[in-house]
Amino acid sequence: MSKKYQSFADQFYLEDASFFQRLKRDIKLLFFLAKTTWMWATGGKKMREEFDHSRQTGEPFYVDRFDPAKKQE
Amino acid sequence: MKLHDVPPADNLPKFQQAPISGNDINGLGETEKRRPSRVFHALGRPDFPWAGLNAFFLMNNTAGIVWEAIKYRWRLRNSAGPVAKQQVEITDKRQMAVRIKEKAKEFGAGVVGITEFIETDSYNDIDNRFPYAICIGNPMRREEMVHVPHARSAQEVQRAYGEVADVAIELAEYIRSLGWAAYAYGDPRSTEILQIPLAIRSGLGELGKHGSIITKEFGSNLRLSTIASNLPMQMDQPIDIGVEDLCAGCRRCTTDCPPGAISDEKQWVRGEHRWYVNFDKCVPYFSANFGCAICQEVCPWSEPGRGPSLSAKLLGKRDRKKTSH
Repeated sequence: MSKKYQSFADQFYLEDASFFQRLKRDIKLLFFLAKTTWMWATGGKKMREEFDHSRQTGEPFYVDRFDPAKKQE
Repeated sequence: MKLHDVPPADNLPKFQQAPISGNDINGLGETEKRRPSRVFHALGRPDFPWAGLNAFFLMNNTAGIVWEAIKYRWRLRNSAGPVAKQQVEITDKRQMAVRIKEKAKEFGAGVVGITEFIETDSYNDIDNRFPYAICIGNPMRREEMVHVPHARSAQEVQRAYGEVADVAIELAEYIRSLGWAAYAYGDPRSTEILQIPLAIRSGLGELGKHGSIITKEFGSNLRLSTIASNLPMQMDQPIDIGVEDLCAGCRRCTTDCPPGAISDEKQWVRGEHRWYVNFDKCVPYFSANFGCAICQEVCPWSEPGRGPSLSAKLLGKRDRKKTSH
């Protein structure tokens, strides 16, 4: 079963929270941002190189494979 | 503004299995009013047909753009927060609106307006719990934006989103300190509302042919943020600065748009006859070229300092036409 979707706000916005709840949220957000940066630097780099190649050669560049839902299938 | 070295609109990223048209999701051709459905900036949500292109857009960036986006998203965590237990009583809504606008300017807002939330301002999967919206707009640095579509301009867009979100976050904190709830909305990727219709109703500007807001102060060269709140305030009214008169005859954005996504005719969209940008043509180019923004920057209103005189000229011309008839 797929995990229930949570938006950025659902995950990281706190209305009434203690110091420790906020600290926990901040650590979770740091990991989220680090993961995003890692994805950009690894898979993203490969993707950008493929796109540059397709622009130079005129080969079609398909984006279906980047759909996270399709990757899980 | 003169464009230079604009990438052509050929060999853009595409789908092997074409998703449902974004124009259909947006309700193009629909004459009945309805709430909007999510069409982009919705990565991770179930049933999101354009997810592949959205993921590509997020990854097709330079280090500078990613760094600006990360700094900004870190600050966005303060968009919500605790409300002071002691609530300040509001006896004069007009005075409170003046006070909030002064505070917004003090925190760095370029333009600010207040309106009410209506059902169609939020996506169909969201229940908005606030009656009022405070809309803020801050300009982007023109010397960076003249390079559109480029990594430099995209980095400036992220910086400006961060700056205008900071104002919204500070203002929301101030409102919460008065004992009223407030929630700051930043860029389109992290929000649940449509900021342009709200900003137009709050008197910040008018909708242009290119589908963006046009303000007298900054043209389309600005970014928006919104604060949702239950603090009672007097609302502003939509303004008429002459955008309709200019867009009807100007073809600058339609001719300069590389994928030809901008139409010279108004169209029906979710029960409203208005300017509309073809999603299926615009977004692949937008995603492949750092969020493009050509249409916003070539717009005559975006020339620094030109808005007030342009507006006076257009409204004067209209008045003269009326009196001669």
